[in-house]
Amino acid sequence: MKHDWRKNAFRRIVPGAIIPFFILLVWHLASSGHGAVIPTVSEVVDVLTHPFRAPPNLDSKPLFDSLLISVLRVITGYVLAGLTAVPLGILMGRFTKARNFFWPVIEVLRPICPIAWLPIAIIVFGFSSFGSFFWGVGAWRHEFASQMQFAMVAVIWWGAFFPILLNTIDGVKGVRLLYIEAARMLGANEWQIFRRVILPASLPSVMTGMRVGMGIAWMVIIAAEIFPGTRAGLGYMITTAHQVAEYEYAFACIIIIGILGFLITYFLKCISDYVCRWQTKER
Amino acid sequence: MLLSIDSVSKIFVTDVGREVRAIEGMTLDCDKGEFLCLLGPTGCGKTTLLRLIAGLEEPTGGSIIYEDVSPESVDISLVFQQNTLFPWDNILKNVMFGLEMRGLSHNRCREEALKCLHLVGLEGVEDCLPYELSGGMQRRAEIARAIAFCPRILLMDEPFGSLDERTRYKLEEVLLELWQKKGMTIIFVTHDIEEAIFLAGRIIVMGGKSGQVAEEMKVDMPHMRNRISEPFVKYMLKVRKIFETIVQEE
Repeated sequence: MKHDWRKNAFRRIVPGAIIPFFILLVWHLASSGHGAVIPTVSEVVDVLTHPFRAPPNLDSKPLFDSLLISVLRVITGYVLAGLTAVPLGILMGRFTKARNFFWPVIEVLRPICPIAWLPIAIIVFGFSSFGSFFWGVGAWRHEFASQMQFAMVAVIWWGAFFPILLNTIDGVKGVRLLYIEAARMLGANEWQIFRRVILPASLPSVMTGMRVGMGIAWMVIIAAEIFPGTRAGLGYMITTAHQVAEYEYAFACIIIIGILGFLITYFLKCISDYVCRWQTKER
Repeated sequence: MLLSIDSVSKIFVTDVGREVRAIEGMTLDCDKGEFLCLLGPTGCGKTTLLRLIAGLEEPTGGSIIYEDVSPESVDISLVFQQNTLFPWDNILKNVMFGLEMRGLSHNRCREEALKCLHLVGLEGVEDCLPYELSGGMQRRAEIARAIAFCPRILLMDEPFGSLDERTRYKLEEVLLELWQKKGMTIIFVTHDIEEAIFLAGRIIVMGGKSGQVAEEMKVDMPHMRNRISEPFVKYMLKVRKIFETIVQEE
């Protein structure tokens, strides 16, 4: 038994580790020697292992703080998107009148990339943030809250809103009529049909929308932070690092972005799989 | 008369405006406690008729009169042709559904549901999700769900159509036992002659189109009927002859 476990782990990890290994190898070779432009592996590792250190030549918060700020912005915008898109999606999926009412506006607004709104968002919201609302909450909390600019959060919201909305609509619309009729024959009223049939039946689609929305939100925040208008966050740290040629910080940020993105989406996938565990075989 | 169908017709209008006359001028009576079988080929309007009785559709013409029972008061139950067990609930929750809708306490619902599962011969699968059961077991669970709250009328739309012969025979026996125990009225739709003769007290043979009633006949044999006995085979011949005449007339 113990032997099998080790063999299994070996079989699962080794193939996936081959490409990262080669990437590291190429990186190491490309970065060593004179006239190398890319930071060496050890330089970047040094940055990654000291996330609380204030970067010496960089006008930026430490790595950990930047990470936290980016993540908090994403979560704020994402949760707002979920709270608005899911109810609206249910409404539009269930009632044709609602669908016809909102559809034209949504279809026109949807293709507009969130970043396109950033300049306007900054004009509208200025640099006001959650911090400027909850003044006096406590020094460090205020510090972070003041980085949750409304403009940033609004742009994240825009990015996550449409995938969640569309997938929710599809989920609610796509509930098999037969299930609804069966529930009706069993004596359920409209509200009970909604709670016991439509909600669980549409949940897989909603979860798909949530996962896609999160993926987009994560990309949007980085792009938004590269844009002028903020002084904190992973994206900001990358641009500032480029400006002073401290590339190991830029590299470190990029790696963190990738890992964090993976962790977040993996986490959502686990939730999704658990909630929809009845669906796997129902093909 | 528990149920009286009087010159009922149903016309569907398709998206392109074409009229489909599913049923025309159908008249039918159903007695309390009887096992009535509607026998006919696919497309003759049997499913539509069942849906009209269930209250899922409104008749375009004629009327359906119920005596002290009505679709709104959950006295009528329908077992669909396809599988409609809720895949997100386990078997027990599925069977409890009808009972919960009637506002019974959770424990009562559980008790009755388990009793029903026992009646259809399903034990030990309460915590399973529908996809984990075989087709025959799913159909049993669906029947259990349909009768758990003791409906007055049970409508069944070719419920055993997708099963193999042996499973079908078993479930037909289970159904008859249920019928005798619970004393409900059953209207059973099928295209299988043997099934109709095995189950029904009265068979209504329907014609090829628009729900025309070709013939009505009583089956006067005690349950459980022997499929290879002489009377049984005689009934089958009789029905086959009726079918022949229908086909010739078309």
